[in-house]
Parts: sequence; structure tokens; C-alpha cells
Amino acid sequence: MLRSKSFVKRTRKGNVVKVVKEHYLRDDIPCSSPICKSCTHTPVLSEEPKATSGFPSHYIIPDTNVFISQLDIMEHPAIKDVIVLQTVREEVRHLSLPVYNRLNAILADKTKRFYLFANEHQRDTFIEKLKDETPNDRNDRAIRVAAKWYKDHLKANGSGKEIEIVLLTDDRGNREKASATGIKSSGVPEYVESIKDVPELLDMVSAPKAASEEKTVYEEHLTPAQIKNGIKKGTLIQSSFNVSQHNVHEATVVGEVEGEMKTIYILGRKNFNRCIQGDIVAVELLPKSQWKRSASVAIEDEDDEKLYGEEEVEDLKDDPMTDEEAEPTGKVVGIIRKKWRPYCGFIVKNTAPSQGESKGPTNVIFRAIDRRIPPIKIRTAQASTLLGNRIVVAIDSWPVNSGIPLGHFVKVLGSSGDRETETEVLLLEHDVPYQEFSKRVLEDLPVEGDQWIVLDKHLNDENRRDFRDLNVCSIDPPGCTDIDDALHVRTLPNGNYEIGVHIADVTYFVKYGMPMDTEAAARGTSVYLVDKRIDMLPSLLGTNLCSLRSNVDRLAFSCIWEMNEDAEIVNVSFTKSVIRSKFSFTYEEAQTRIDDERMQDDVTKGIRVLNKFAKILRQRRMDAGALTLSSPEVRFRLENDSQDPVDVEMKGLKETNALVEEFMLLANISVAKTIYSKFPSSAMLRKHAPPPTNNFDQLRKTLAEKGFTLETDSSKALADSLDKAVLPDDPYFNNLVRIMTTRCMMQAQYFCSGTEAESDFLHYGLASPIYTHFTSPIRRYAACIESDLAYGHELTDMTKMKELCDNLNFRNRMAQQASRSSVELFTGIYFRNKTEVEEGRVLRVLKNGIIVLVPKYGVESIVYTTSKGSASSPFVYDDDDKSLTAGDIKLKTFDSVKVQISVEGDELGMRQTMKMQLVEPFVEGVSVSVKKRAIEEVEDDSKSKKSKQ
Amino acid sequence: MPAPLISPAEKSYIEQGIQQDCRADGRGRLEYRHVVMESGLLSQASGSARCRLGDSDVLVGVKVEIGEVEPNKPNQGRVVCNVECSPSASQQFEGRGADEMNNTLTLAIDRLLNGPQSGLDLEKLCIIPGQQCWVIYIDAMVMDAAGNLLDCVVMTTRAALYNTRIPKTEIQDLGDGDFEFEVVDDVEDAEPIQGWENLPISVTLYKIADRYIIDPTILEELCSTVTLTVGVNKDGLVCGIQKGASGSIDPSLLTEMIQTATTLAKPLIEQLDAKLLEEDNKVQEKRRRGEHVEKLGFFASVI
Repeated sequence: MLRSKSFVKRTRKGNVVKVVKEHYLRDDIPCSSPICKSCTHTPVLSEEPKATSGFPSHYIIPDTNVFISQLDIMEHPAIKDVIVLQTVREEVRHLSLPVYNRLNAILADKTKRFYLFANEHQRDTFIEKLKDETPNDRNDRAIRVAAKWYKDHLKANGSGKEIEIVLLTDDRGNREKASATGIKSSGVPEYVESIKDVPELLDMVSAPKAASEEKTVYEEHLTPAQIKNGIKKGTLIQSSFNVSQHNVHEATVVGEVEGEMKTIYILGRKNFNRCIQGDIVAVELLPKSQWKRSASVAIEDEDDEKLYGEEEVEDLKDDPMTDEEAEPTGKVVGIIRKKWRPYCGFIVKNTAPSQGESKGPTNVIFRAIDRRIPPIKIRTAQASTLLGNRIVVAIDSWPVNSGIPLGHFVKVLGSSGDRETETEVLLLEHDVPYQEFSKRVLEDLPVEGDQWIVLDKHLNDENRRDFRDLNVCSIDPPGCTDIDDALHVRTLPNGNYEIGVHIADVTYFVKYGMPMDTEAAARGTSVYLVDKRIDMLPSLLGTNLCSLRSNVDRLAFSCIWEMNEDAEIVNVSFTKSVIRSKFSFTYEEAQTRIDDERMQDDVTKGIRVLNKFAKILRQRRMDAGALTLSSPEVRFRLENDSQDPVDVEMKGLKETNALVEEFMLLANISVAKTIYSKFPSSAMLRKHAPPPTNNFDQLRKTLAEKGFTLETDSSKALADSLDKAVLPDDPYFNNLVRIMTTRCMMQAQYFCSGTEAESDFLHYGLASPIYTHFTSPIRRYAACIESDLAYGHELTDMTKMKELCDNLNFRNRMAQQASRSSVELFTGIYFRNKTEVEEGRVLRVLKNGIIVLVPKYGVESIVYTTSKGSASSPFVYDDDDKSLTAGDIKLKTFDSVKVQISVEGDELGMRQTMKMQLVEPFVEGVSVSVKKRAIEEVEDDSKSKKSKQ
Repeated sequence: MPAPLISPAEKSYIEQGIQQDCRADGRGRLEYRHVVMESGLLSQASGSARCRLGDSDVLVGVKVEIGEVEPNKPNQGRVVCNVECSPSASQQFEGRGADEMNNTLTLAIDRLLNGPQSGLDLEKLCIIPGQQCWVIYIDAMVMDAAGNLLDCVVMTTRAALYNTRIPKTEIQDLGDGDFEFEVVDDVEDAEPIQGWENLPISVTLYKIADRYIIDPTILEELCSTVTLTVGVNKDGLVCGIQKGASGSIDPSLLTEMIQTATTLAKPLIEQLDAKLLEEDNKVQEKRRRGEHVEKLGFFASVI
């Protein structure tokens, strides 16, 4: 039977077309219930579905809104035997693509027993739209018709067994109509309540839309058409919304102001207008009279009253000044794309009812770990049990009349403070895929497992060169298990040197397009945490078959240069190869060999040659303007059993680090050139854009006061001025300047060569016109791609490559942040029950505080200069030279201070924060004296012990 | 169809028959041939109709599209007509043979429909004044030519316009005098063209010898020296007159012919309207009951 469906749609050009689709009906679509003997099928549903207190054994048919607003419940393992109607799935697809994808994931999960019933194509359940019937009514009717059909079908063919059909819908009208035709129906909350054995489901019911008579707190958003038009005309700015880490009431977007790309500030929740960190928003500029003139203020935790009272959304107003250098401010008028995700966090203690009080569900406030996320109101019956745990919460809505968004509970991660839980939290928060590799992925591993060896066929099949007789060795940090590069050097008969960089040939095991490759592409990179590593590839490959360990044959991809005495490249070639590494050195061992005069064997000599060449190459790069930047990185020494940090050390650099790095850079540049010449439009390269000069404004100003000029016209000029910024009596000063310069830099990014102009390929930091990541294929997916490209396979087209690059950039950024958070976490654990006084340096002066970096631990934090408990401060802020003065004490950037570091769990919940307080210079009302603090510590301890009891 | 040639004997036979009020197929001078009409048979079009008048067969598809308004009529929509004679309709339409006929017919219905006399409310077609409007594209296809094509085309076009539904639009004020609109995607939620009932039909009178007839066959057309097309609406008002062919008409006869045309048109329009409404009601009734609606489509020619 043939029917047609038609609808009107507007094309991109603005024209209107009527689309007519053919629609076929069939009579052989099965019901998928095992009790039915008349359909020919392999049943998905269970023979004896679950019964609840309200309903006998039954199948569930949910309507569209159940999936849209209660998806977390549908994903819960307790919900099984569900019939998903095609009508419902289609509606979901139109309403929300992410929900649609998650629904498909549930359908694919065999254990969930969700059956997709193609009711629109089944002859008996297809209905024509009635005249004057809205599409929604038609679909609701289609759902009821399908439910009715199921009920009758199971009765007629059920061979005596009885299985009910329960229509799940929150629409009361729909329920009434359903019961009129004899179908059982239920709302989600009532249904969930009837499942007595899984009480937490009730908490996962999403919050209903708030009643509308309450007064509105926020402005209504503009309509999508108005936003589109505004952006087209340039009256609105589209950008992603970024909340400041130091002040949750200050956010920035980047947009064009008076013809220039500028940072636009958005101040106060009212102007945020219900958007959340990461959302793509439309911003309207405020008139110039309201532009921002004062320095950024650090706001610790917001005043509780203001925050949870819901009535007030504070307006931050600046004193009008006639200063010309005001920075633009704006307000959000609409959200173009929401980036809401489930958030990890905790329930604020004083909003939860104390134990023993009412058992019923109560409203509590949830705060995310990410402080940039506003508090979320959730309703839960298990508030008292959830206290002290890390939980996940999803936002449902943020109506105009609610000061904070409404959400619902998703799951418990574990108790807070626990290292495992906290690590999981930080992985979740950075969207790092940390699950075990799936069976499908593991099936791609070679069947021989760790018995796999290099055979002659490997040599012959792929034209591999046999380098097993060469003196190849690797140099890595101690304890490194994923060795992905090795080096060799030998003298050629003509007096030149042959230098080879050998990279693990991951692509032999991970062929483009197979599940393991797809998984690796999705993970993008390995993530290094303080106590563990989240691998991109299964460990059999990463730490064994692809790891270039010593004295075993391994497949490699080699980049071979011929260089003359002055380290000039005469010739370069790439080849697949087989190598047998002779030594796996640590940096230290290699260094000892170089320094030890007595060692005169070939390998040691080779390292010396490499070292000599590396120095020449490095000098050449420096002359071209490569930057030496710095970041305050530390390494923890972990206690073996508990994995708790016992000591912290600064990461030191040895000459041999630089040696390896230099040749890797060279290999990367050589590969970049080659693949770009081979595939001008679909090569994957890496660029580092020059930072905009105004990024340096603040640093330039502060340096000028110290008598240094900061030239930022080119990377060479910058490198030179950094070299000059040395204070003889302050050895750390130069390092500090470099740290601050690093923060002015842009992020380096992967990109597809066809999408950018050649002049934009520049890698600013390395001062190389072209660059890519070819090395480290075990931990970088980009390097896997490069190997394939360098070998001459064109993998994919420009658009796909661009998507891939975007994902890799995202994963890289997340991996970096995750590592950083992991360090923060361990720093927190290290300082637990510890108070230390350390020397710190002022990085930045704010109106009400200073940001201090403590080099010894690589930590930085705000030190408030306001007195405890009041807003007044003995310090006076001077905007001209960015300083704080109290009496004869003046705090400025770069100043040395002494601070006391401790870790504080805040009163409200479980957020562990590092706290720094000023010790020296001593200012009454602000600084703490060390002794007094120690007493408080004891009191705090005893308090916390009491509360535990 | 026969070649457009006629022998003196045939011509004389037809002329004398007309004198006697008896035509070759047995009709009187002012009688129509059998009419078969169906609307809404093309699912892709915004409106459509097919009409067989004797053996003449015309299919009209109407498509509404969004266009820019004309600068001199900033708050009106437009109607664009096009008639095409299919080469399968007649030998004479092969190659470029149909060009002249296409032009003549296109021009004729354009004159009748584009202007206030058509009775269509063109201002209702305007979406955003000064910017965008609906443009109604009328494409008529002559699939079989057996005389009286113009009347047949006009009649079919009228039915197709009756059947046409324009999607609803929702206009949004973006401020600063800017507007944007969105189209409601439901095909059912669409509006008929305002004023379609005022659309005229055409009655073409063919003068043969000193009498005149309506709805001629091909051979009768060949006998005619002069034609007079009168556009008449449902109120019997004359909406346009056009003289065709090389002959002449006496003024007194002209008045009589116009008079005849108006009296003939009124009952014809009523009949056609009644048919269209009946058909529409049937469809709506089926829809109300949720039954599937099937169109006769090209089986119409069998009846």
C-alpha cells in the first residue's frame, strides 16, 4: 500500500518547497513479544516483563516528551521492556539531536530490551492525519492507536498469557483519552513511584516547569529569527561564553567592536541572562557609559543570601569615570546553542534537611565542582544520604522567573575527598573517555597477543628496511613504558652523518577505519594524570608491541636524514622499517654517558654526536626566533601503597631532554613539509597563531616599570626581550616573566591544510613556517594520521579531516586541563592537614587581592587583601600602576611575598580549596601570624571530628 | 488528431449544418461538449486541476513561490502564466510549431488573470510590504488539442487556483523596521487564494458564415473567420474581450455576442463551482474519517 506524506519547508535560499515523500505500509512488522506466536520475529522484549506495585507485568510505551525531559530515567537500568514507537523516535529527532542519539544508544543496548516498533509502516497502526488536527495531536493519537493495537494483539495472540501495555505520558489529556479506549496509562512520577525497589529513580524525575505567575528575574531571550538577523546585521555578537575562573560574576566573549576583535565583558548574573559556561550566545553591547573601567575584582564565594534567596540578581555597577580606556561590556540577549551537560558536584550542606526530618522529597541546592556553573536547584528524597558524596546532576530548564536553573539528580559517584572518586570527577568534568576498551576494539589486536613477533613477511610485504643491525637507542623519562621514539646516528663513507628518528609504527596495528582506529580517533590522545594514565590505545600495543623496547624487534617508521658536519640537511627520506633498539636510556643515564670521559663505545659516541647536532639545531631555531617558555610544573613523589603524594619536586630539565626534543621537532617539520607537498588540501598540520598584541598590554606595562621593554612584533623580538629581562639579584624573575608570557599565548591547534591560507600555517612558538605532530603515535592520534600520510595514503577528504582536527583540538585541550586538575587534586591532598609558609610571587594585582604563585609547589591562588568578614580593606588600589598600598607597604606585580598555604573544605559542602593568606609583609587585619593560625587549625580539626560522629 | 486541413466540401457541410443549428457531432450552436474535471491530482504542486473538454485535454499545475515584490507595486503579489502545448497533442506542435500557439494562449490568460479584473486579491499575497510576496506560477500543459483550447485552459486554471493552498507565514518583527517570516511546515495549515471565486471563465464565440457557435471542434475552428473571447465572472460581468482571427464583426452582432457569452457563462460557472465544491467536500469527509483519499488522476480520460 502506498501513501504519501508531504510537508512544506524553506530552503536555505529562502524559497518554499513542498516536499512529498512516498510512504509504504506493510503487514509483516512484528510485535517482538515472545508470547506472541503469530508474528515471525526474534523477540527483543522479555517474556515476563517486570511488574510494579501499580501495574501487573507490562510493557511500557512512552510518549515523546518522556524521552525529551526524562531521558535519565529511561536510561536507568531498572527501566526495561520498552516499546519505542517510530512516531516517538521521529519526533525526538526533530526536537533534539543529542537526545535522539542517546535514545539510539539505548535501543542498541541489548540488555535494556528497548524495541523500536515501526508503527508508521505497520498497516494497522498507521493513521492519516485528520482534517484540522495538529501534527502533535495526530502523533499522540498514533501513539494511542499503537498502544491499543499492542494490547489487542497480545490478547489475541498471547496464548493465554497476559501482558499489559502501559502508556507513559505526562500529558493528562492524553492519559484521559487513553483510558477512554481502555489503555492503561501513567505519568512518569507516579510510575516511578510504583517501582518500589529503586527509590532513587524518583529523584531523577526532571523538574516540572515553574508556575508562571512568579515575577520574572531575567529578561526574555530574543527569538531565533531576531538573533539571526541581529548577527547578520552586526548589532549582535555571536560567541562562546566564558566565565572567569576568579570571578563567577564576570564573563567574557570575543567579538567585533568598532571594527576590531575585542574581548567584551559581561558583568553580573542579570546580564548573563541564564546562559551557562560554554554556551554559544548572542550578545548585545551596552552603551559606552556602562563600559568597564575598573580592574577585575576577585569574588570568592558569593553571598549565600543573595545566591539562594532567588529573588535578587545583583547588578554590578561601576562608578562612571571619564577615563577613555574603558573596556566594552555587553549583555546576553539569547542563547544560540546550549552546551549543557551533566555536572559533577555536591549538595550544599545547609540547604539539605537534617537527618530525621521529613522523609519526603525536598528542594536542595547543588553546586558543581566547576565553579563557573551556577548553583542548581534539585528535588530529592535522599538529600541526607547524598550529603558528603559527589553526585552528577543535569540541568532541565532555567525559566525567566528562577534565579538559578532547575535540574535533577543523575547518579552518585562516591564519597568526596576520596582519590578515586575525585579522579573520576575530573575525568568526567573534562569529558575524557576513560572506560575500558570495548570487546570490538580489543578484537582488532593481533591474535598472537604478547607473543607477537616480527616475521620475514613484515619485512617483505611493506618494503620495510631492515635497521636491526644499527645502534638504535631510546632516551625517555624514568619509568616510561610507552617508548615511541628512538634514535641512531652513523658516519657515512662520504664523511656526512646519517641520523635516524624511529617512531613506533602504530598504523601497522591500527588500520584506518577499523574499530580500534575509530576509538583512538575519538579519544584523540592519552591523558596523563598524576597517579595514572588513560590510554588512547589498548595497553598491549601502547606498552608492548608498539613500544620500542630494547633488544626486541619492533616495527617502526623511520625518518632518515643525511647531514653534513654543520648539521645541515643534505637529504631526507622516510621509510617503514624494522629496528632493534640496543638501549633504553633514561635522561639521566644518557647524560652520564655523555659526561663520562671513559665511555668510548659506539653508542656513547653516537649520543655525543647527536648532542652536538642538537645544540646546533637548537641555536639555529633560537636565532630564527623560537621561544623558550616556562610553566611552573611539578612532579609528585607518590607513596607506593596508598598512592598519596609524599613529596613535590620541580620538574628539572637535562641536556638530553633537549636532545630528544630537538630531533623530534626536526622530524615533525620534515614530515610536515613532505605531507603538505603530497596532499596540499588534506594534510593535517599544526599551527600556533601569533598572539594579538593587546594580550601583552598588562605585562608590557608592568615590565616597563622594572625598566624592561617587551617587543612583541615578532617571535624573534619577543624571544630577545625575554632574554634581556634578567634581574641579577633575582634569579627567578626571568622564569616568572616567561611564565606570564606563556599565558599571553594562543593555543596551538591541529588544522587541515586545505582550510587555511598557507601564510597562516606558521608555528609561532617554534618559529617554523610549517609543523605537525608525527612523533608519539602511541599517545597522539594525530601522529597515527601523519604516519599514514607520510607513507602516501590519502585518508580522507578536507571536511572529514577538519572534523577530525576539531575533535583532536578539543580532546587535547581537555587532556591538558585534566592533567592540570589532577595536579591540583594531588596538591590538595598533599596539603591536607598541613600548613606551610612559603615564598610566593605576585602575578597580578586585583582590586581586592593579589594572585600569588608559589614556585616550589607550582600552585597559584588569590590572596585576598580585604579583612576577614568585611568588605573594607586597609589597602588602597591604584589603577594607574596597578598596585595596592597600605601605609608604607605597597604590593605590585613581581613582588616577593610570604604566604601561608592550607587547604580548606568550605562550610557549605565538599569543595576543597587551596587557601593562601598573606604572612609577609604584615598588614594588620589582612595578614595572619603563623602561630595564631596553628591554634585555629586544631580547633577546626576537632570540629570536623565532631561532625563526623 | 486530424491534420489542420479542411476541404471545401467539408467546410460547406459544416457551415450549412450550423445554419440549421445542427453540428457534425449532433450539438446545437450554443452547446458544450462533455466536460470532465478533477482538481488536486498532483501531490507536489500547490494546486492542480485537469480538464477534458471533448477531446481537448489540459493539465494545470500551480506552484507558489517566494519572490521579491515589484517596485511599483510594493504591497502586491504576482501571477505568472505559462501555457505549453505538448508535441503529443498535435502534429503541428512538433519542433517549434507550438511556439505561436503557446504565446497566444499565454498572453490571453495573462491578460485575463493579471489585473484587477481577475478578482484575485493580490494584496493578500504580499508577505512583507516592499520586500517579499508570494508569486503564483501557473503552468498549463495542453496534452490533447481538439478545439476551443483557450476556454479549456481558463476553465482548468480556475479550478487549479481554487485547489491551490498557500502555506501560512508567521511574520516576526525584528525591530528597526526589519521583518522576517517563517513558514508553517504543515501542508494542511494553509490558506486558499483570496478571491478565487471571482475568477472569470472565458467564453469564445466562433463566427462561421453569419452565425456563431461555442466550443468548436478542430474542423469547425478551421471554418471560422473571426473569434470573440469574452471573460465573464460569476456575477455575469464582462472582465475582458478579445477578438481573434482575421474576420470582422458587425457592431450589432458584437453586442449580441457579448450578451450571449454572459448568459452562457453564468450557469456554466455555477455548475463548475458546484462540482468543485462537491469534490472537495468528498475529500474532506474522507479525511475527517481518516480514510485514504485516492485521486482519479489520469484515468479521467477514460470516462
